[in-house]
Amino acid sequence: MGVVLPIVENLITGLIMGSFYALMAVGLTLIFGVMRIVNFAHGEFYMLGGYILYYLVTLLGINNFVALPIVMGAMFVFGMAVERSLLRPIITEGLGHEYSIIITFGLSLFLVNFAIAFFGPEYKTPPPYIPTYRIALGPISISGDRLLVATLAAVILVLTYLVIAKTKIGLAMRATAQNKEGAMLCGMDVYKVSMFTMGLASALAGASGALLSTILLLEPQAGLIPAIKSYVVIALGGMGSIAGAVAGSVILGIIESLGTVLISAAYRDAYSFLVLILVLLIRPEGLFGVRVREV
Amino acid sequence: MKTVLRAQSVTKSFGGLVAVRNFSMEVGEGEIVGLIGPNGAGKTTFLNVVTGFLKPDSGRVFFMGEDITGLPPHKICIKGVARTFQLIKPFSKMTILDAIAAGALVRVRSKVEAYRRAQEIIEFLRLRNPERLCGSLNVVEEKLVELGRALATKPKLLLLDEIAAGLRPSEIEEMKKTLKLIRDEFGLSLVVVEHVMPLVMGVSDRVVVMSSGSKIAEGRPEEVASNPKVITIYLGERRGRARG
Amino acid sequence: MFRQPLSPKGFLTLLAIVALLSLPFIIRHEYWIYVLTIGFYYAILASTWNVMAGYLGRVSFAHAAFAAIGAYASALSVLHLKVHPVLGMAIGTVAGAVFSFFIGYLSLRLRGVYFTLSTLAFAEIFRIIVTVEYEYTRGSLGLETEHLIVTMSYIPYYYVALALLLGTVFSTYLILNSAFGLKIMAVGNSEEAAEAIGIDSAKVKVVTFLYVSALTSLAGAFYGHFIGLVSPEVGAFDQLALIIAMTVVGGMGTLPGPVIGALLLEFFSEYLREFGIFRLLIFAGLIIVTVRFFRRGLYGTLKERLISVGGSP
Repeated sequence: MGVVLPIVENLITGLIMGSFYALMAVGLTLIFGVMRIVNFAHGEFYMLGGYILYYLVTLLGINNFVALPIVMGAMFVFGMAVERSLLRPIITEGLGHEYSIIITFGLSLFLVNFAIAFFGPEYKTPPPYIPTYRIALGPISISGDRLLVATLAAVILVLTYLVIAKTKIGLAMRATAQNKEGAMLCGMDVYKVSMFTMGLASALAGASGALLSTILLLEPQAGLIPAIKSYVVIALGGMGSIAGAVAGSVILGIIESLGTVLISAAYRDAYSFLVLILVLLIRPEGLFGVRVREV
Repeated sequence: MKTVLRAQSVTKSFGGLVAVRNFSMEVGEGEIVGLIGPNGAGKTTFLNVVTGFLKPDSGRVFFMGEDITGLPPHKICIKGVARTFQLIKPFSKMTILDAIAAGALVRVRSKVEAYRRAQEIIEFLRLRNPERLCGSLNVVEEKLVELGRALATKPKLLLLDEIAAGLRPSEIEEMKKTLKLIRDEFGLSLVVVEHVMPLVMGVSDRVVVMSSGSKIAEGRPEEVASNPKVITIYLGERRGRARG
Repeated sequence: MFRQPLSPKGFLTLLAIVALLSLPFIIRHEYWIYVLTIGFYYAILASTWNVMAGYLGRVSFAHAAFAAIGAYASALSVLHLKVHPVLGMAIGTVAGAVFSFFIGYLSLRLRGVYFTLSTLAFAEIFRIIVTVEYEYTRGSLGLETEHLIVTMSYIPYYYVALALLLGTVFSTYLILNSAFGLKIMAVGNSEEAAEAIGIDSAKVKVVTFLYVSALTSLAGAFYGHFIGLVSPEVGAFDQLALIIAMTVVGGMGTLPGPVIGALLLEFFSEYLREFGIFRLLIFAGLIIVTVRFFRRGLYGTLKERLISVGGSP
């Protein structure tokens, strides 16, 4: 009995964490699907989202709930600018993986050190969306503010799904993800689709930062761990699969939370890597992926 | 005539889409077989199954009587099957000489020997300035290097995926001669997967027509060209294209 | 073959080697000898990283971590097995080879970015283990270890580092110019095309990664016994960033590029010490600008200019 309660509580924590990973991972998987690249600056998009929220709320006194859409808008523009200025040669010159990996890694490094230099290396605590309180469900107690923030994440995810499923640009994204040459032949503007995809993914990562940094702490390298976890998540779910990204996030959130109670809390951040190794060993195409050799 | 390649009821699907359905074909020694069909007929998928880039859902592929189904691509090449790619995959940052020599390495261990063989192939294909980078060539040269790279592996069977796509009519005539010369000089069998009709019809001993993953006709070029079923799918495609 | 007159390239190489050998007699300042020795260490790491990224087309994020594996394996075996640091360095090298085989076998069979993701995960898990297992590694305080040579001067270390660097560059040169080197480049250009001409791409990738990682671990082990302290900092992302910046700026996919880049940025880095926090910001900017606009880096761009001026093809 003494073990069961913490397990249930941690299971819920796992689900909540999973919804944040999903915000990151869905953006990452969209970028991969449309552009065939992994964005190694994704964690820094998260970090920037956190800082923008922090300054909007503390300096300008804007309410968190109002600031959140502003963060997403700003990050959307930022993501598009990154695509236009740094990633465009991938399409125009057909550059390989090395280029996209090194340039996004360089961007990541730049943003982290930019933040250290101009926002300061110390921890910041953005004000919470609502005051901390706990909800008691019988003997189980969960954190109400976390639940609210996770709900916001879920709402954003649903909205994203609607954009991809119902809008014209969403259709273009799906078409490009399936077959880039085909989409180009059908007269789709691949540049525009790539730009929009980067914008959307950046906005999602920014939202994740703006939400999660009120619970965790904010510092220039705060994005590293969430980013690495979302890489594991998209490998677990299947690169390019949106359903896979969501399912993978929930699974990872639960594995981590259970590992913390059942094995060791010190290695909490290492469990995701064990998951990655298992995925590579057993099912490299991911849970929702199809094994395709690109020829 | 000895059978070089025998594919038996090959089926391959992606998700719900069946790309190749119960497809069989044979290639004899020294034979040039044209494999034609509209876009999405499954020609490239079939070629990927034969060369090991895809595993078939069912069916078997025999090369020189040996079952090669499911072997990895490099092992299939070692057996003696070479290919070119529809979307060419040049070794852009390597010189023509290096690229073709890399192909020879599957047969010879020494780099000197590989370069000697590459040099022979370069002369045969009449490629100029082999010290140029593969990323700086024109379309015809790119195709020839791709061909040379495959030839360097000393194949008994060579599969060409749309080698004439993007070539001008005069260049297609040249390519036709080159292919026949390759067959005679190197003594190998060819499968020519093609969209460009004049090339296939001019070069093939036999033509296999694929549509929606299945074989719908087979025979000598002139027989196939007058086959009503073939005419229908090609006309249909042309109308479809005009509409699109 | 040796009777041929020396090519301009060969002449410049020889000149550079002679210059590096005689530098300690010219620069009497111990501090700059120290800086150069560190520069050689980075030049080894950049050269080996370049074999992966510049020739095989695979980006490893575990490169600094492999230096740290070598350093820790060597330091721990010197501490517990009481072996001489030279033997420790050999153990460090083997440790790097073993780990790289494991990671390579797992992730290099797959295409695309799985390898990079796996190396990132591995580097991070390694950092966590080193930090958490405090009793063995002294965590972030670092593990003190014996010096390789008992001496008051940096000059002996300078020559050991130079020998390691020359060994690395020379063996890399031999490999890249061998039949296996052709295979490495073929896989780096197009994996599918390489397989289609009979190259076992998985084997080529795993063997190359093993070679590169073993040398990196050796360099890391040397570094530990040079500084006398092994800390998680050896495997940190900052170090990786430095290695990437050096390779990219010097010229990725060229043999001298990473060496030039490493020595240049190491000096630059010493000057930038007073700017502290802006140092990495500048390096990051260098990576982005070079990769975006001068993809061939310093050496590649210079070579191109010289050739176009000289007028030869």
